[in-house]
Amino acid sequence: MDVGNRLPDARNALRERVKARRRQNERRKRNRYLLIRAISFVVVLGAWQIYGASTLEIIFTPFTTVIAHLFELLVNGPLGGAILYSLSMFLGGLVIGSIVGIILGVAMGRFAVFEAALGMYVYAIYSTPLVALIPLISLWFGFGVEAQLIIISMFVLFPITIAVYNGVRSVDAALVEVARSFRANEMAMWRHVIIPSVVPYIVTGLSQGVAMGLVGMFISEIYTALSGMGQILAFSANAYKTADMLAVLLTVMILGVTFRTVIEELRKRLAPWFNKESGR
Amino acid sequence: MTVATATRQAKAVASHISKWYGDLEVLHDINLEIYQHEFLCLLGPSGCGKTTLLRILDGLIQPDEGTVSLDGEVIQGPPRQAAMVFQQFGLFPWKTVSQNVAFPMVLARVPQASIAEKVRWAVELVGLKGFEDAFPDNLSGGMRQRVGIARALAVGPEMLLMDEPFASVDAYTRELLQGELLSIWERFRQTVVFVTHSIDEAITLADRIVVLKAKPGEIYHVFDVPIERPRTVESVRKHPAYEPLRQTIWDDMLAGSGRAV
Repeated sequence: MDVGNRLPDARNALRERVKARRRQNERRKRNRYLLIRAISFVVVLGAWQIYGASTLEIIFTPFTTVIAHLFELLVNGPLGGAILYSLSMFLGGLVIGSIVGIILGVAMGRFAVFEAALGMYVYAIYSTPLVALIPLISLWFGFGVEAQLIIISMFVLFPITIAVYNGVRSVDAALVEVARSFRANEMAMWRHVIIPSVVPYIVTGLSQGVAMGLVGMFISEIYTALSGMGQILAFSANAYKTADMLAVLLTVMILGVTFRTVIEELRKRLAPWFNKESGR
Repeated sequence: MTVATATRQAKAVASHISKWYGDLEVLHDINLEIYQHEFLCLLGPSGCGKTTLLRILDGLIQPDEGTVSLDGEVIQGPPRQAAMVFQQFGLFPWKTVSQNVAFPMVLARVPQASIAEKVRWAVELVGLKGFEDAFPDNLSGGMRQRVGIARALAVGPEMLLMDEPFASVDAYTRELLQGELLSIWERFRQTVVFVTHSIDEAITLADRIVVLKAKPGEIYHVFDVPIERPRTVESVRKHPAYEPLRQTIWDDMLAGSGRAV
């Protein structure tokens, strides 16, 4: 019948039009977003360039000068070695802090004994500005690699401990019961229920740990034996070499953003079920 | 096709079950025989302890008094022969549909090839073919409970325990799922204990309805459902026995709740 045939066709056409319009809207939104980003980038770099060129060299330097100094420091200067040194200290501290933090968080979250015995110290130290502990750490461990690693691990440790603790505490009791109902033993419970539910929290803790670890890295390099990127930063600041200082800051910024991206990628790999799409 | 009374054989027996939560007696002296291959509904108002009773039957919690025996043996924990379907689905958000369905078999160390085959069978049985690799968060409530049912069926349980499995889905999907459960069950005839607070649902599905009353939770009356199988949701509604039975159970529940009829 005519009506019967025309109706699905019209509906299909309408559906296609609606889909096409939605695609177009999304593309437009995306383009506008990228455009705003590009404009913002140009404006900020332009302002940097203009202000840097118009003021004293020791106050601020143009963006292009900073880039030139960055390359100079990398190729002929000490920056390459400094990055290597700082990064290895940072990664060492991150690994130590994460491992201890995860163990501490899991123990405190799963077993009341550890929570009762250790919880108060964790919160007390977490609430203390860690910078204030550095003189004590130097007194005990000196100014070398050992002290620096300890400082960085401490900065990393607490955000991870707290995140993992919260993760273990918020394991869904209903899912524990499901696993019990299907006769899971303690091993299977960890493997199938507890660890998977804690993974997103570990990643969250890691991303905070990385941010704190970079803070710890600079602090340890400036407050103990001057070394790594912190040394270049301190020397160039003392010598009013503002362009060098900005070059180091730019480097750290790039490192920080890189780590964040890596961890976000890690989250997608390890916890693909953990969607956090913004509702925009 | 109803099982004749003479051939009835107990699959599970709850004897003198009492359970207290603090000062509150949730279950009081429950004595219940669940027969082989029967579909039994536990029906009652909220707070009558029907879910608690189901969890005791699954060995998830221990009664303060009394025992549950399954195939003549007193259970100490969740028995191998039983599988549970949960009200809030109880799916692992980090496992795909296939992995969720496979979970009990992985725990039971079933060989990999056999797991894959049973998963395929169960997923197809509940109409989820094509969604094997989806995560639960991307499924509707109805589809999630299909996964829950597939997970319970895949292990080939002798007894299915279902805790208000359709209470969390919309009314339309609920009827759809009831119909599908009917046709699946009429093929396999596991022993089923099904908890619900809906009289309609109980009559539609059950061979026998156990009405519980609250405070403390006690068995009030037991009703046989004289509607032959195979059934559909529609055929039950149109059956002459449906309305009178519904009225009788309704009056019974009202009386059990202590309110004026």
